[in-house]
Amino acid sequence: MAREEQFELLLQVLKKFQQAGVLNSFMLIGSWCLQFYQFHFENPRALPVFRTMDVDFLIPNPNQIKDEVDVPTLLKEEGFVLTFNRSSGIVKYDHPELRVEFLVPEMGRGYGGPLEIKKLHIKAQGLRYLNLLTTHPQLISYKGLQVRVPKPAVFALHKLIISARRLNQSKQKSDLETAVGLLDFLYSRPNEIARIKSVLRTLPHKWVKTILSVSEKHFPRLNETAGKL
Amino acid sequence: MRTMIGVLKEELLRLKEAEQSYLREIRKLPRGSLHVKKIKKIAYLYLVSSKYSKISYRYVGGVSENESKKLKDEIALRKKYQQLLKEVRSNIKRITKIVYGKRRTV
Repeated sequence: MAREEQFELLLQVLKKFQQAGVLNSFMLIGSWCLQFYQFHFENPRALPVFRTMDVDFLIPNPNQIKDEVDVPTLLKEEGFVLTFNRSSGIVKYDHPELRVEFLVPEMGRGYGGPLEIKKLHIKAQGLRYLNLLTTHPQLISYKGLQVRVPKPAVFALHKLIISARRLNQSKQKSDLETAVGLLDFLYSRPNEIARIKSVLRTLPHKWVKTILSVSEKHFPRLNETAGKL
Repeated sequence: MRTMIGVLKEELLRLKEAEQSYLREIRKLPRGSLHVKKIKKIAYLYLVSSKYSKISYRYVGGVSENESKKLKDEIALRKKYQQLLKEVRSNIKRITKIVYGKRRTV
């Protein structure tokens, strides 16, 4: 299946979520964000085009979901099947072309396993640093869909942080490629540079240190920007 | 290129997991196909399946009965999953060829 058809499948899933009234509870993160950034910036060629098959939905506030929606059934209608990992307890939804996963920001001591969101009938995996994405949302309208994604600047900085924590080298490389490609594009826009500065100002000192230690080697312009803060 | 191969290897693992998931779901659904028999102008539904080259007909009920509708939906879902399983397997073949070359068997 070509990427266009994959994207069509993703749009179908998003449409189902919107019709069920659950799309506004999710934030689309991961490489498929870049596709929506392309629409937001009116299809610039400079944006990285690398996409994986994973579609990650972040649930910023799992406790604030009020309406009950059977998300697995919605996915089943599109041909997705449930894949359960017995050792970790993580649940994913597979299709020949895409894999849907649900994530929640992990804070403090963590959840000690996947978090069950009863209202949505799903289990979400808790991951660190995701709260950085939830605090900077951006709504992108596309073909009648209102898709929530993180702000591009924040997405790039988040990729830099997690690349430092990756054990898998190929994942680390793809994170870095995405972050550097996106930052390179964002640096051509003065308002985005200003946003990067303002985000860096609000981050904990340790996080900034991690970001700058990675960018020193891969994107030194960010260190220059941070130096001027 | 190494990043690409890494991503493809991961995709291969994902597809193998998906293959198992589709097989599990297909096993849960009824085998065979539906056949309508008209007896004295009344339509009756039969589930036709074969085992060890022996064909068996199982009476389901009237065409409009609830059980018949449920069975129809389940068989349609099984066929959909079988089609998707085919796609998964063809993707596994394609990616194995890219990552390991022609000689590796799936």
